[in-house]
Amino acid sequence: MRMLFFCSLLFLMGGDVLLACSLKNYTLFVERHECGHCMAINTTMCSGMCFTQDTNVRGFVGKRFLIQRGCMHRSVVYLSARMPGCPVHIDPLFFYPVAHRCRCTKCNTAKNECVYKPSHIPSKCSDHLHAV
Amino acid sequence: MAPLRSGAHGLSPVTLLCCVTLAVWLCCGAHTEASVLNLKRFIGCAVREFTFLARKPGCGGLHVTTDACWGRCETWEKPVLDPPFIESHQRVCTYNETRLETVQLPNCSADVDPSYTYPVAIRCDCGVCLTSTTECITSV
Repeated sequence: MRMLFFCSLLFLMGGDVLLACSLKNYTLFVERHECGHCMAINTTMCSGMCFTQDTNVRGFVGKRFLIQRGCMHRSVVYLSARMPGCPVHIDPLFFYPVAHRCRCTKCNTAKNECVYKPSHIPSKCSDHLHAV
Repeated sequence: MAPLRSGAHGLSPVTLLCCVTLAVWLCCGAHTEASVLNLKRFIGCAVREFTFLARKPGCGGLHVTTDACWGRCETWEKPVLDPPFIESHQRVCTYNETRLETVQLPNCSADVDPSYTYPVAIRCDCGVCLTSTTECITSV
């Protein structure tokens, strides 16, 4: 019965609620080979579905009709953490971003890197490092 | 869709029917041309009708109805450790396949070609906006 209620709710709400742009938990793996450790940091990210439309027409018609929005943070704060086991000449302090509140909005190229893909992000700690 | 699949074990027939209906609605809705769904509730990226005023210098305007791409796409921003500190995944509902159609604009001056060519969407997908073929709010 509870499942039926849940399904009905999803059906009624649809795109606005199901997979809406919102804060999600995210684990960031930070590796410092010099320190011999890897830290799993719990932070937040923005993700979800945003409404867009495109005419594939250039010029006035295309611009008037165009809606392009991505799920982006309203604000982000930077927290610090300390990596254990670092030698004296290595700074153990590092900062990581935590997203606060999300919304579907245009990406402002003046303020943001709108398309950025880092070359490598570890999806888990390397075996030879101590996980913290 | 994952929660539906993972929760599909041991469901009552009514619940199952409800979930199957929802799944069909979510999946097939993305390819329904004349979708009656409210856009606020629609999740996929689909072809939808769109009317605009075609005009060019020296001719009269003509209302043209064509197909454009509308819908919702998954986008996200992930924290990363190095500048700019955010990995960005921006996808928009855009044309995957198009054909061009030509109409004749009315009341054109003698020295103006009345032909007006516009694209018609055949298939839409979530993808990166290409500045070479379309207007993009975010340049790529």
